[in-house]
Amino acid sequence: MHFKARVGEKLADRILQENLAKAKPKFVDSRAKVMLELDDIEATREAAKQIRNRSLENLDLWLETFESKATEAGAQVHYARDSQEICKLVVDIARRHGVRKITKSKSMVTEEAGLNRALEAAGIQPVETDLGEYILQINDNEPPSHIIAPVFHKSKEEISDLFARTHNTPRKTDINELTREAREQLRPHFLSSDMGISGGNFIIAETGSVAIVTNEGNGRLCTTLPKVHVVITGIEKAIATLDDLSTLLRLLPRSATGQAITNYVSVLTGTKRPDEFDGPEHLYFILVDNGRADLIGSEFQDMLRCIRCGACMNHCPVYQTIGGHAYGWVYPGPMGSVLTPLYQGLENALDLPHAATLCNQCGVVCPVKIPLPELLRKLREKQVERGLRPLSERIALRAWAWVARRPALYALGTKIGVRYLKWLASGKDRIKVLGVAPAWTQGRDFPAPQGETFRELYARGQRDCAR
Amino acid sequence: MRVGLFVTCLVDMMRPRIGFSTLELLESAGCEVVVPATQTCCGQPAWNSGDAPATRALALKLLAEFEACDYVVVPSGSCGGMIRSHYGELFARDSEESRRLDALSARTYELCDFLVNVARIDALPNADFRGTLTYHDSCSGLRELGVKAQPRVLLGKVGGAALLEMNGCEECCGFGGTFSVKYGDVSAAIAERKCRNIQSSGADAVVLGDLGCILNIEGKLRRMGDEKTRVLHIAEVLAGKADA
Amino acid sequence: MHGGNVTARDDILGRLRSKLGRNAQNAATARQAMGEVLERHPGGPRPSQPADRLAYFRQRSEALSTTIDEVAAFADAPAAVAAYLKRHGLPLAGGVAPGLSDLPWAEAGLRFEARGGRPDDLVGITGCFCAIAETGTLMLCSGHDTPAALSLLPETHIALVRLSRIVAAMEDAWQLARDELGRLPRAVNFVSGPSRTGDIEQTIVLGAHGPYRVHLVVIREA
Repeated sequence: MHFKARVGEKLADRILQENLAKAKPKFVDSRAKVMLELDDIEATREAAKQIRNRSLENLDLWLETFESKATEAGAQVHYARDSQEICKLVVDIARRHGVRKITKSKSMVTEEAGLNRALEAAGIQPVETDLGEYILQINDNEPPSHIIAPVFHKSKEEISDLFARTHNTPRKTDINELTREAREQLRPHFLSSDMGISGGNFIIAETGSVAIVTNEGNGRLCTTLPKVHVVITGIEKAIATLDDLSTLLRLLPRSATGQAITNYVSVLTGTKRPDEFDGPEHLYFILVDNGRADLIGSEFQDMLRCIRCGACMNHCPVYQTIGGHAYGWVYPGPMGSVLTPLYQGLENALDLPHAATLCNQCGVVCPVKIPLPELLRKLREKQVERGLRPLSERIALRAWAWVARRPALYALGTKIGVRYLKWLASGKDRIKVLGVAPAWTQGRDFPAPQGETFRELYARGQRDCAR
Repeated sequence: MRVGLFVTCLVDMMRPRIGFSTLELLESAGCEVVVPATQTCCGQPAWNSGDAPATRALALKLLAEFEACDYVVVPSGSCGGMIRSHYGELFARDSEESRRLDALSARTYELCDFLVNVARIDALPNADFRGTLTYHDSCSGLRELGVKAQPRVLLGKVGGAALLEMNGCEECCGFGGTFSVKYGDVSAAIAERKCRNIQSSGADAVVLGDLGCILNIEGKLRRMGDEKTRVLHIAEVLAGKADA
Repeated sequence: MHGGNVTARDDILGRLRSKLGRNAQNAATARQAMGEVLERHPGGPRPSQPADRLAYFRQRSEALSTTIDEVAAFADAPAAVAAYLKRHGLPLAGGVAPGLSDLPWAEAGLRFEARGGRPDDLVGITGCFCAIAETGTLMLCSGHDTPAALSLLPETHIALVRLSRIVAAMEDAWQLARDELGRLPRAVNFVSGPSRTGDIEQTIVLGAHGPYRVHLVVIREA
């Protein structure tokens, strides 16, 4: 379905609209409050930006350093160019170790890859263990609508019905009880799975470690109990040192959920040591390209700083109005509107760069200072350069710009234009239906112009004008 | 000081009163105001639509019209932001054009910012508003130019007016230029949230510094059946023309 | 060395090198700068903290629903743990980290076995490598004497924290690890309060997949 049609559907979805209205202030208010704990918010954001830039500017070398450290610690490092290679690597690893069930901690890269479908096709059972992702999986593999709050779009009543139906249990309406029910359903899976898959918030060159940030503890279970652990993450997630991690952790949970720190931060290095009671015997890293490498050195490199906190979507007036599903791919909101065309092809997401007011609320909350509106605008420029905009739009824009460079013609055009609009208003202060911009007047009136242009009045020596 | 008034294309067409209010405010602040007769548009619609060549042409046109002025004042955070924050990106860093545009950008001010930080005006002799006001921080003015305290300082000098802050005053109204017609439905839905916040403030009028947002907010309030809440440009209030 | 996947690696790194304009000379310069970063591992801006570190640690921990008790010496810990368990009607048995097995647990009426965590454990007792005042966080390092699952599987996790091991910030914790451990253990788990989720309607619920309760006993002895 086309983005525009999905938007219409989402605006008309009353339950979604109620859910969005309820969820909106929670992330925004809690972030604002907890950011104030930092003495110097701007200096911290700037430091985080520099840390991410430092990685990206020498990404090849940092990856090599990471790889040698991780290998030294007993991990195996693989690379995947695209979704197909990710899926093949995971299925191969699973087969090598005779894996039948996999517990998964949240990973957006596996969403990019459609990994669960590939695993099922290979006869391996993936179990999503993040509460939100679990809810989506049992709801017929519904896609997430938010990168850190996958069921942002759902009410607890919908989840109550889903649990009662799927678990065959009495319907519960208390969120505590729903959460306990999911815990009880999932605990046996943790204990019986042969392999855990996690994402990686960062990979650390200094030590060859992966850092995983979670609240529920499912990430720890997936990476502690099964005998095989596979980390799947983007190549851009490399950072230099543990101290860099400490700085980024002052911003990631604050920006994401309004927490000073998440409940769990796990820094995992290598495999189970000989005298340990627990831990995986095999650790694999799958470092994913999927479009990332091509952004290095490009005018979109800044986007690779992204640490996937979701603050941009939480603060986006468009996201707040339509939710995440309308965006059509894995990543919604401003970061998604930049990433989707870059990873999926400019021509496959023509709407997204335009689906923004460029209000820059995203840019000012971004913990790594990604100039999101600027990147969206650059994508619009690419569309124009490649002739991807509709002909009518191109003609209108060109004609307007041509006239705007010719003051006399422009003066005549605007003179006629405002008189036409004034006439349309037929003596009232507003226009109810505007033929040249029907999309405006579907949901709003268009205020009538005063009737003459400023320049006309000024040229006549007028210093004031009546309504 | 010689101040060039760039009224903006929207004010020129839709509400000349804002332009005249700005003119009076600048003159009563002691400025010698020039209004280049050939001015049209700053190029922002082209820039935001991805048409860089058209934007460059319009930027050079504006440069030619205003380069001789000590300052350029704009009754819009959006157009002011375009000139101040984006003109510098249009040409190669070391080019002659870039150098001249940078110099112009540095002398370009949003109206409130200019009155408070450059003209440093003390009083607003003509300002008079009986009632309560709430101020909407339009996005570009706020986030590109740091226009936040300035309008509030000025509104504090308006005899008879009391400022009531609304919830989410810094949230976008949903206008977004071409966005408002490309995604009219989303734009109107965002505007509705903004209008509810305006209404909940209980103010008699919402005041702001950008005509695009004014058209959006006024249009939505009226469609919602609100005939009572007035939507005013801050220049109109400060110049005492709100009751015109 | 890289599985059967040499081409993907070479392709990706090759493209990165070409996009970055990599050559032998700039690689050498970059490696030197990287070496300095790894050597010095410079930190970023840190929020300031009140002088009373224990009070701040307590305040930050309690904000995350962690409960805190204080005793004078390690030998007093079992009695404090027993009192906590009784107060909350919790079982007086479970697993204790082997590194703490020599404390007088039995004398306090507790039956805690020194071992790793088990799925049916209701209570797990661990020490910690250190604790962090800035965020009210425990730093747990995995190892034979400090099994990772013991702080994760049980519904109640109790940790003994030596006062002198409460550091200001995570950077200080890493420095302790560098100084004392040399290389990182397999798992460093930073734990900040009971597990939680906000996935349903962004409403915070304690006890998602990990513990419902985290209780700390701060040991004042040096």
